[in-house]
Amino acid sequence: MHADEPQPSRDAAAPHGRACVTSRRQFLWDTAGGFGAVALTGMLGSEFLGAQARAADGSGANPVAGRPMSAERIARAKHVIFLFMYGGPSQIDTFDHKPHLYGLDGRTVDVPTFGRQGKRPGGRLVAPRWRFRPYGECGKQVSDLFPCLGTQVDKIAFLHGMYAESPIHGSALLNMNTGRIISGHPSLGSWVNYGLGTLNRDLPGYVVMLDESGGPISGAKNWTSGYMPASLQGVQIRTQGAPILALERPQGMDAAAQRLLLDHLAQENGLHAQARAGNPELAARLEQFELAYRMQSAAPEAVDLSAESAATRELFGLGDPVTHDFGSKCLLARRLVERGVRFIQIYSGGGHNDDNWDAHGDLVFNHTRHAGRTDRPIAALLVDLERRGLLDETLVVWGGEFGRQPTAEYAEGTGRDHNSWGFTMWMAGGGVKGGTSVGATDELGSKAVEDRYHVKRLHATILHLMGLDPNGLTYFFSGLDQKLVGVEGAEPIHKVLA
Amino acid sequence: MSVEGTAQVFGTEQWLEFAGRLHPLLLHLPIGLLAAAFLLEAVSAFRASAAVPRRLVIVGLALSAAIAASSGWLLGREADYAGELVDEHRLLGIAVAVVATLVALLDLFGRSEWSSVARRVALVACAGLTVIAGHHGGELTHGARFLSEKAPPVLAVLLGGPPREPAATDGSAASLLAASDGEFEGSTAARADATLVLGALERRCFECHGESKSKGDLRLDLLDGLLSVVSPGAPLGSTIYQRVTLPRDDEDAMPPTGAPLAEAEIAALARWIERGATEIDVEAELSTNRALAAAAESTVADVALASGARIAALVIDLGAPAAERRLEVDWGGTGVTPDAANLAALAPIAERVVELRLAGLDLAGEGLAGLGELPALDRAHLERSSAGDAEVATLAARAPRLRYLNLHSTRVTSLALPAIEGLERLEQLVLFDTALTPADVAELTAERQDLQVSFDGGLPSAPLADRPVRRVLAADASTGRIALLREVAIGHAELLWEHPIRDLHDIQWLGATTGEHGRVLFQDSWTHLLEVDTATDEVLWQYDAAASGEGPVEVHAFRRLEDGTTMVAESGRGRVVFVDAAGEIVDKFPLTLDGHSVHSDTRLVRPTPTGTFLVAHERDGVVREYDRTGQVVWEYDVPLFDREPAPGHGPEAHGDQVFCALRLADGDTLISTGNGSSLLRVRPSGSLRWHLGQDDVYGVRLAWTTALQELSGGNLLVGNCHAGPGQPQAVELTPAGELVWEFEDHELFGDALSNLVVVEAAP
Repeated sequence: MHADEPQPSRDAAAPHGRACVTSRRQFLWDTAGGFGAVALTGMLGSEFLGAQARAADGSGANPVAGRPMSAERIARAKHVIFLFMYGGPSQIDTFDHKPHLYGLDGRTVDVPTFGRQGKRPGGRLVAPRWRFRPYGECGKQVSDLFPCLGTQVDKIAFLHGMYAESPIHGSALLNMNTGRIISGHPSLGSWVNYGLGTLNRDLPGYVVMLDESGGPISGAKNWTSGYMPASLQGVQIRTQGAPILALERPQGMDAAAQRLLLDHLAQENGLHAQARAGNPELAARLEQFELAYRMQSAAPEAVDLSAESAATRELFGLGDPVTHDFGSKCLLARRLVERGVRFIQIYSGGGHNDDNWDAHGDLVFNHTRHAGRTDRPIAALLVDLERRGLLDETLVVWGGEFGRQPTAEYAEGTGRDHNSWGFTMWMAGGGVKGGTSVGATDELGSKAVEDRYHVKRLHATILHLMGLDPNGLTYFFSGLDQKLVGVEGAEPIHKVLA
Repeated sequence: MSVEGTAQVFGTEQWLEFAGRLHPLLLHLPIGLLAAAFLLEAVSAFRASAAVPRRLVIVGLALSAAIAASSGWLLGREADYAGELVDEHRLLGIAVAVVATLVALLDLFGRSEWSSVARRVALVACAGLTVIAGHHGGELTHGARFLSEKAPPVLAVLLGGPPREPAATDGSAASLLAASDGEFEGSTAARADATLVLGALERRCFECHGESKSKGDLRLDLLDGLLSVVSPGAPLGSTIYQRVTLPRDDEDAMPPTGAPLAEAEIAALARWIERGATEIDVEAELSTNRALAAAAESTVADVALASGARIAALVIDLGAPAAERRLEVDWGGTGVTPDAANLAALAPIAERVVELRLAGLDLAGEGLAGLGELPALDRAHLERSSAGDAEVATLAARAPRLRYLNLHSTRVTSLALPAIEGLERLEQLVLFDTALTPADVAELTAERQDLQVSFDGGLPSAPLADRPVRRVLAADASTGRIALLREVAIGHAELLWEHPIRDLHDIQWLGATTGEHGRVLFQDSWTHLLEVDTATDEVLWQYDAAASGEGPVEVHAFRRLEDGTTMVAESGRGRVVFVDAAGEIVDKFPLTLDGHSVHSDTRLVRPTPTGTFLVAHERDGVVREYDRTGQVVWEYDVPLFDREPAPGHGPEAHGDQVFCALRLADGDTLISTGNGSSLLRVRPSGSLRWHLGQDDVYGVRLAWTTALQELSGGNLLVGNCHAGPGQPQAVELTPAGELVWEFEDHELFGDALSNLVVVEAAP
């Protein structure tokens, strides 16, 4: 804006042939702009800002220190597997049973909505497209999209009153992953690893697996470590091809030569570090070289799914072209949990349109596709974790960045627009009370009305289940003790704690 | 205090205090103007025209510096600010204002070359003073080490603070809270309380009541200061206790910002005051605590080194003294395979180990023999390891208080069971993928009913196989098609089978054959009936009513009965016949008719549970119930409901051309009235229980109501023929008449879909 305004005066001055081509007005503009630019450069100096952060490598302040916790707060979850249903699954077609909607298909209802089409006063109701059936001892009603998962409801706590800050994918994803709708903040996996540290020196503590159709919108911002050290960011692991990109040794380099190189590098860096004692950034960078070296041998073993029994592979749906991909990721997630990885995020859906759960056009095609690919693998994950005695140490979280509206987005068809005013997520294992449902949306499934929980309450619950105090886990940056749950803080959702 | 009260006492003094509080805002004005003055000074060296704006800026600088200094003076009068630093800052602030004024005077009145030089020198001096004054101000606000602790070592000394010493001045509350295990005199409880109190003070109070800022002239980091707010033995009489327990919205509540002190901390404070509060020398205490914490941590570090394991305190214990934190010991992911010596190295911390992780490890030859007593061990992970029965026995002997034991994918056999049974506190046992049998597990759980054993788990291979997926059998003569559909989602059907037809008024599903297919009895003309397997489209049975040549006939109803015969209603011949598998008529009875019409004598005929037949007589507008001899045992004349008959087929039509009557489980009779566009539920006495009229279903306009079906849950299915586009061709209603499902398919079918059957049975 400021850059445009001086233009007319500059043009106006030239024809007069004045010696001084700088008008008074323009001088003031330029001066002001100059000051701004200097200040801005200073503020953006990353080294300056980076130096503000307290070390997360154990030598800095402990994130949970000094907050005495009562004896009953026993940590149970050591790992998190976050199954991210990118695009936003429709709650009323999956787990939020609204029996009265079935007879209202096509009727116009006065229900305010807010999606990518903006705010609307009402619209044509699209009744749920799947029947629900009761499952398990708790009798939870689950739609026919999830016949396998239905059998596992007694392990699951459903949150029907979730709401988020944005009905737009990019900001809503950041909201779900980092707690904020703007970029630059560390993601949940970074916070967990920052708070708890790693369990395996040979593998990253935070792993992300993307859908084979691509990553979600904003890409790596969703698993960034933000202002925390880079060692806390998510590392992408793949189930096909090289598990971690750019990890193999270059041609002609053998392990011994690489070791020699690294030892020499460490020596040089050691000299460099002598004059910079206590610089955590330097130590972290040195450690990254070593981690990469160790990962070269540890990662291939971790991702080797052929080591699993045929029965286990079949349980996860491997070999079936529909479920093979997501099943491999769920199975790999279990193997990573066994090997000490703290936080694993698996994306169902990537790219655009119907490559993810973003059912704007044909709800039936879209949700049949994505539920079909994930139903068995997710159910298998819960079954397998339980029979191996790992479910009480592993928290499984399911959900998208938001839900979908009960009304149609367009005049024709079953497509639903985004809905951040009310949606369903669930958690299982890791100290969660199974077979429970908390919260409710209104009678149309449009807006959370009972036990309404903001995304940060979910984050607080996850941190709490891992033994961390969500309001005590802080990281000093930019003059503030930053928290995942924001400056106002957030309480865990006590109703779902076992 | 009321608002009026506030107004009365808000005098000059209060205004001055308010002005003082504006100091942090006002001080930035001269700083900004100073920078501008420098720039203009530089520009005016080359361009004389810049002298005027320079003069303006410099005068502004002088004025604003004076204002900032004045407000600072006012702020400094407040009791919170005292000490050398404040005095220096005050003097420097005044100096800045004085020098700035000097610069302004030189600029306004100096005409000589000398005055220009003097002005520039003074401006530089002013800048230097501002930097130092600003630094001191920053130290007052952010603390003395704010800048120096992050500064390069050389600069840090200049900035008035020593370079940051790692660990010793780390200040992490975790290390401060760590305390000894008995090296102090006095009870452990008293020690723990004092530790908690100290931790809380350092974390929450010293910022304002400490070395660099002593609000209210109170320094809690000194013994005198602390004792000045404590009445030993009387927590309720102690100012500090009163202030931290005030409601958070009270303006005297402490700390003034952030969360209140934790309940445990407040309780510890109360106990500490009660015990006399005299034995605590804050400064000495802090340094002792640090030393002890370091000692406790070095023990763990030594053990970690000797054992090769990752040893970490439970995260929930990090608030406890270091020596009391429970520990988890993990060799997984360390690259170390523990031998006897590694295991034995745990001895110094054995009482604190609550979790042991040996998952996936190839335990060396001695197994767990080297393991010492682990009296506190709660959870043990041996899964995927080389552990066998001997290792389980060793572990059970060393760790009698185990609550969780994971043995999946190990060589463990039933020989390990006696050892496991000896673990009295065991709650969770994982035996998946071991040599144990279901019988072993059953035996174990019979003995230990509170024990949760994970042994197996799986998913049904076809999870919906035993649960019906809705299929729909529907026909519309106007589009020449009967079809079997599978509902993949509500409103979305998949075609499983279709067959051409010319005329049709009845369909019967006879049962499953392969997969989702089955046998269907239907008609493809008014006289020709056929039974087809939808999997193969093979005709299994057929019958043509016209073949006997006994006069004009149309068939609008048929039903395969339990005895294997097929009931066929012969409209035009006024009778119901029973046909066997060979196509021979084995029985029949006559119908009672008011008039005759080959096409309209009958619509659907449905057997009742008592062996009678409910016949819908379209032409007569009457439902008659016959026994097997043709005796009319019950009759119901369909009313017109005070509406004039109207011609047509759509919703505009009206009449009593009844289509179907169904005996419900409770003895009522459900009637679809055809062009009456309604549903009736009639009691055995003949009175109307309810009447669902044309517009009584929300959002649906009923037209020619046709075939009826009672679904397993009690819901009712009714055909809605000739209703026109935008209207469902069939609807499912709850017994109360609430709509729960609609069928609408204008691609396969048209406006004359007369019959629809929902197939509920599992395939």
